[in-house]
Amino acid sequence: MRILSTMLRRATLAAAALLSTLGLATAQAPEPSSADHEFTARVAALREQLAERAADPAAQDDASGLGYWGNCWRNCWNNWGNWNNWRNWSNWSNWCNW
Amino acid sequence: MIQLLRRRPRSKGLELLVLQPTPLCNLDCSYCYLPNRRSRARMGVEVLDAAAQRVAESPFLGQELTVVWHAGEPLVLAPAWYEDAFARLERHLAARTQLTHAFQTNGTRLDERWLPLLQRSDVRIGVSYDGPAFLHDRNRKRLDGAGSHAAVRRGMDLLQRAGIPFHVIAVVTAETLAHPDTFFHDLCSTGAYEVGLNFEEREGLNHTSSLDSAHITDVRRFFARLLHLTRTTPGAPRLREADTLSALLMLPRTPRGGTQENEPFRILSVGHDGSFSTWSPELLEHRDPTGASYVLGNVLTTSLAAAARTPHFRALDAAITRGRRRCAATCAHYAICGGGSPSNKASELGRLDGTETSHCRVTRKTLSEVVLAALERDLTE
Repeated sequence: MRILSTMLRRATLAAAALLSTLGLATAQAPEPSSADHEFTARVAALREQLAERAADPAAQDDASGLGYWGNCWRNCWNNWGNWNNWRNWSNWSNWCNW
Repeated sequence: MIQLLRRRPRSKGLELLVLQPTPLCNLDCSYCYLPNRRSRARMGVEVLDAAAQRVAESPFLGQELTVVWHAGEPLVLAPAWYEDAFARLERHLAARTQLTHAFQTNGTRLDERWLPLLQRSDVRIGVSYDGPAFLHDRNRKRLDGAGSHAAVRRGMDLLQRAGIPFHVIAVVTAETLAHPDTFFHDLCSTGAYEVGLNFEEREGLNHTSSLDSAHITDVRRFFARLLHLTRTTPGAPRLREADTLSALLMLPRTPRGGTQENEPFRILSVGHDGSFSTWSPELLEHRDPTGASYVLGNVLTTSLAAAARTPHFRALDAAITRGRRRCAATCAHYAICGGGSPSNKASELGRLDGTETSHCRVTRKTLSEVVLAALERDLTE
């Protein structure tokens, strides 16, 4: 059964690749769902909250009370002023770290 | 000059050089994606020198370069082999860039002979270990079918006694999801400073994943429990996924462009025979469903710049870029992902220009929602 399902899967993938090569298929890109919109809004709210914290000189270096996230906050804060450190995803999309 | 600039492929600089010293592995893990694991071939000095030379002469070299010894069990070769290899790479590259070496090992061959090499300040080591014996030995088996747990524990004990910091990468299967507490406490006992979770993937030779039949809510519950334990247990190892995702969520805005895996020549993977590719390192040994290879050339005969001018490279790069852009246009989680992994798209969807994979759904969507919820809770309290 497992062999049959593997063969079927391979045949489906081969057909998809052939159609793609011939330009006869378009990639199925899912439309953003309401969960997607909610996620975006929550991330924006979090970032706004952190921006307010970063603007407060008293809180800039103060990671106390953030518990586990203190290190992440310090790291983030140290780099907020230097956007170049972030824009290439270089620190956070490292293949060998994932 | 204008033509030269036009021909130069876009690259943000080479960050990782993945070298396959040998395809051989002394284990036979059930979920391994690599072919040729029984091959005793090894990278010759002419390939090593050529790889270093190709990188040195390329327009891609940046200020720092990590060399990852991978795609087989690196410690089946002797420490002396690496001493010579490090010296060769330094000869070609050390004046131009800062080199760091990284090993990801199954840990079973660690003994005192390795300590001088691993104690060097420019060497990092990670051990592949799946937790308690009843989980680890289910999949990480020796060639005779026996489990490898006891040998890996001995290896990690040796590192700990020698004061060599190491991280652990654990493959999470459907069985792991039912045991977050046991899994966590076992990992705490290893002495690792960080734990990374590789959720079992459908990739390469591993055509099915035990997680295919797992429910996403089980993944969410497992990771939420693990995160809770990590945050509340003093001295627990850092959790790679929590650190990485929280940093991305905390960024002032979403970065532009793609990632190491979906932009060319930020990673260069060189096989033991000199064949090379870029993007996801897994692509070096994979073939697409029609049987075509992702190899771009061989360091013995082809420069990186020449490979980047070939129609083969251009077609692959165009498909990968198309896929990344579709991700950016259609997925809210692009903010913490950057467009996904070409090797997962190829393996799961049969195409490089696809978008969502089950790898995305587990490692990006589900985990980021758990981290976001924890951040919201902690930062608003």
